[in-house]
Amino acid sequence: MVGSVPVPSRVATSALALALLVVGGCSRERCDILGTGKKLYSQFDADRLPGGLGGRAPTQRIPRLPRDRPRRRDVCIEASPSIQEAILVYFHARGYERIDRYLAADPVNWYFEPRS
Amino acid sequence: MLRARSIRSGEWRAAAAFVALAAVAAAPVAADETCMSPYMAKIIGQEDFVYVWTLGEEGVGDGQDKLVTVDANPTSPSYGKVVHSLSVGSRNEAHHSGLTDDRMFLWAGGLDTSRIFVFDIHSNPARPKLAKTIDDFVARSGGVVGPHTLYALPGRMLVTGLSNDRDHGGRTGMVEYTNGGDYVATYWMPDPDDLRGARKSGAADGYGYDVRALPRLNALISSSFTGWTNYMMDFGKLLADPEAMKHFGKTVVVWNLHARRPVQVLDVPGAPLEIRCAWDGDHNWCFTSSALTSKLWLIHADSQGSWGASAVADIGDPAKVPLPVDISISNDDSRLWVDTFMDGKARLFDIHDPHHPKQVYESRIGKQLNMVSQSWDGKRVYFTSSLLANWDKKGDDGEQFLRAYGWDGRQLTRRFEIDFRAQQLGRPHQMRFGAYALYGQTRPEPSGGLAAR
Repeated sequence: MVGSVPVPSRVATSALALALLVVGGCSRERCDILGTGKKLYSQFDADRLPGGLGGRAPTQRIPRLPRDRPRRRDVCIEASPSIQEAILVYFHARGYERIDRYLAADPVNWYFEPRS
Repeated sequence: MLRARSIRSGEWRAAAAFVALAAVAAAPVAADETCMSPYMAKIIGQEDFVYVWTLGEEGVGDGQDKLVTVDANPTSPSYGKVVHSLSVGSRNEAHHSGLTDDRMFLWAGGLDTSRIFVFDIHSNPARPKLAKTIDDFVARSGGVVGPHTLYALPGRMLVTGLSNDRDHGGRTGMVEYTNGGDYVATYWMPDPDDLRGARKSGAADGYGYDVRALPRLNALISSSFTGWTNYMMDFGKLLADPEAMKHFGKTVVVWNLHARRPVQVLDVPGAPLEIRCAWDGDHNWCFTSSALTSKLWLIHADSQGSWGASAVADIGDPAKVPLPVDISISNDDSRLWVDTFMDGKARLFDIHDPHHPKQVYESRIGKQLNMVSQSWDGKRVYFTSSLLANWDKKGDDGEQFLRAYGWDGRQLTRRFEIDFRAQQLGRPHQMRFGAYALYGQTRPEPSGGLAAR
């Protein structure tokens, strides 16, 4: 028996990933690795967030992305309790969704990925 | 800064507990078999395989480092047997290995050549494949040598170094990669010339060895060993060299996990090696053991978020230098296995009170002993023999084995053993577990013969 794996928020397109999803559940991470092996995110300090939270746009600190996945921008942010709701709103408005499978292990750092 | 507050305020703890609870309900992937990254899915039942990263030995088989796959499921017809062996084409001082957070790949390092081998263990868990070799670790990292711990973070692998390419001494750093093997960044250890923003209780040494995360405290904990010149030296020669013996780590560093910045340097003399952190949400501590002084150390955070280090128990008789090596914590933070290389013993400590561990059991596993891995439920315990190619015992004392035991709460009972030298495999070092169920697979029906080597 193993710890269960969350169902991905979007379906990967490769046949192998789909097969895995059907037979055993497939995390987004797993599908990503099967697809490209690329996984990028940038770290943010909460006091550096834009608008009422800080002052800089997240994309300013996102590392240069590989040419084959120009839209791949995952984000790790330190989510202090007082601004967690604002963080969710901020990233949701910009097309990101939180990767919830890490929350049980790490309630301090939140990971986001672009919504499809 | 918010970051500083994050490890100090009670507000944080309450919020963290709430988020953790909510997350458990939403996504029950949380942990790993007792000693690995908390970001990883865990095998909470029977493991199917033990992957043994094995040092090549000249004159033994092909002499190459190899990943050896052992069937560990008692219901299998090949239980206790080597079902696959994959040589990597060279000898690199194979040492530690680590799984990516999704457990699709096993990264395995070579301390001499600084190569990292990435094995695909998900396509066919019984027959790993070499997916990638990272052979520019030193150049890409800016001079870090000796990839040791390969530790899973979300989408990333954090690789600790043991040395550097300037003097091959102990100053080193940690190197971050994506799961796909792309270099991300290098974080040098705080050293006497540059504390890199850390506070220190004594002397910083810049050395490195192991690393573990305590995410709810936003902390990484790293330990310290010695550089390439020492770990590649003959052990007898090393012990007889007073100058060489000065060059061992004496610090543990607490890092800000999020920012990857050192926060505090703690004095832990005697080469603190493996770090094992508590699982319980209220246990703000980790253990390490000092190899040269044979002591258990507790690395602990106080209610204000400040960290300290305390020597809390002797391991065997320190005067006899038993050389504690690997340690393994139980999933309920109640027990700690401690292996000692020189006398070949496994000792079990009761750590219900981590400030006052008590040895409750010991057993001689072999003539030399290094690594220990236990199943999540603690009922199965695996041991291997090899430390380093030039530190292993010689002659009849240099036996090389994987020995598997059952633990019933009172004693170890041998289940099976594999003689790695007799099977022409080499020197077995670190073990990691695999299971078909991780990938939605089931064990194939027996086809009348074991998989080819």
